[in-house]
Amino acid sequence: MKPRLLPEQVAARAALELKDGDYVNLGVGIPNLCASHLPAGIQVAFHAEHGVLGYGPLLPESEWGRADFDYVDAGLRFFRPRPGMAFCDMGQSFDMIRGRHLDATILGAVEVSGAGDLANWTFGVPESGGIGGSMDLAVGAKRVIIAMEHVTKQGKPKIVRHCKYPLTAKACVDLIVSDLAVIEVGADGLLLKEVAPGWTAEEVQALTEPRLVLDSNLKEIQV
Amino acid sequence: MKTRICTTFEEAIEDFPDGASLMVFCWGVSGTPQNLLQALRNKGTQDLTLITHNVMPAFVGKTVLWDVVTPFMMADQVKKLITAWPGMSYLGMESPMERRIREGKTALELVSHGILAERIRAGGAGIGGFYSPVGIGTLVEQGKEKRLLDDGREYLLEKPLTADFGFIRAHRADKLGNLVYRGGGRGCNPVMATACRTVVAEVDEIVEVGELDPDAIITPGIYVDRLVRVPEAGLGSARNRKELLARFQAQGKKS
Repeated sequence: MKPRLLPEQVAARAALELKDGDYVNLGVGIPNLCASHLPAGIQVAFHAEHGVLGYGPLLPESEWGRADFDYVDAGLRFFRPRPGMAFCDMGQSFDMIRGRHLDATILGAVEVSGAGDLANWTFGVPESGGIGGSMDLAVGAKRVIIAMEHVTKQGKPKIVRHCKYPLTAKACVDLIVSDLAVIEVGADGLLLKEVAPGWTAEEVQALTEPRLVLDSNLKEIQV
Repeated sequence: MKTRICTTFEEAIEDFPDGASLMVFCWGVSGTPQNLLQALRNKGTQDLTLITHNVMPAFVGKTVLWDVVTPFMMADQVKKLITAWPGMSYLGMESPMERRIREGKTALELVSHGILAERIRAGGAGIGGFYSPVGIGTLVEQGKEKRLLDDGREYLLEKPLTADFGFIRAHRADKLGNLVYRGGGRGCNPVMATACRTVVAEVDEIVEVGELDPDAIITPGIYVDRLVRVPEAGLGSARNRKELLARFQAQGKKS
């Protein structure tokens, strides 16, 4: 099988979408890796749902013994405090999200539809999943970027005509960065902008349910 | 009403009846009123309506800290659950709460984190409800009034939430019940403190009136009915946190 991008490479490509000074919320999984793969020279303030803005890098395992439980991110991972970091209550934290103050959110996905619908909080059984802040983020962030594997473990497309799984939000996704492609969700459908090294547009289309429109300037993802 | 300082957690919740509603924040060890939750668990209070953000145990990395008391341990006491995160599928297991929901023993109302916080704020602020675009086209819109507002977007009517009891975890209090928080432990605690008929706060330290910087007070004492100081080796105390972390000191050296 042809090589696909590694999770870290998907994260690095998604992180290229961020600009200096952006306020950003990262979802669990590949999105979280974006924090360690920011483009050089860029400072981004990360937002955590329970009310932390501008936290520092995550602590390596070797430092957990000296960590502080009040300094954890949304996934309960320890971070280092950073000058300029601010705490607020959870009501205000979500005002920032719904009030369109966050420049971007990078989220994982179970499925994304051709219309940009997102399903990412459960594999079908509501009581087994967790909405968390995903519905608020998908509706409120200025830009919703999805970072994910292009297909399921069984090889089935995750970019589908219609989502089968319970939705997080309708028509919310702006850009999909997968381990095979970069796809923009536009009014006219899905625009294939970049493909992974060694992959052709036809091969990516074969693993994508909705029809892809090829960008006139189709490029290879720089890794 | 004057804030009462209680000497034990049992005393602070002695009038908590079966069937009451409870709001409690939980973000792992941080911001979680573990001692009050443990007292309620020991009391065996039944048929709770539990309003909480996440029903999950505390963990560090992939290690679950089973000795940290969170709403996760209260499953068999809960009749109705209002939460954004009932499940454990992300850890590849079925939680006791999920099982109860599946068996019909606990009713589940799913709500996103942000809408939960805002409904609680509305409850505490005397707001009769609000329209929000979150959840349009998803299963949380079931049973809610949908309305097209002037900006051309669809919104859902969200109703306020209040509770009989609120358990709050703060860092420091003065004897009037003014509260100061620490780091991410603030979370939803200040919002919940406004929306419950009886608010009980557990804190690391209770100081004299005048010792807290008035500019730094997040929850004014008007909201707080009862205070209990966490004992020196109590759950979530500085010593207890150090002991929890000591497990990872050894792990850090190994790796």
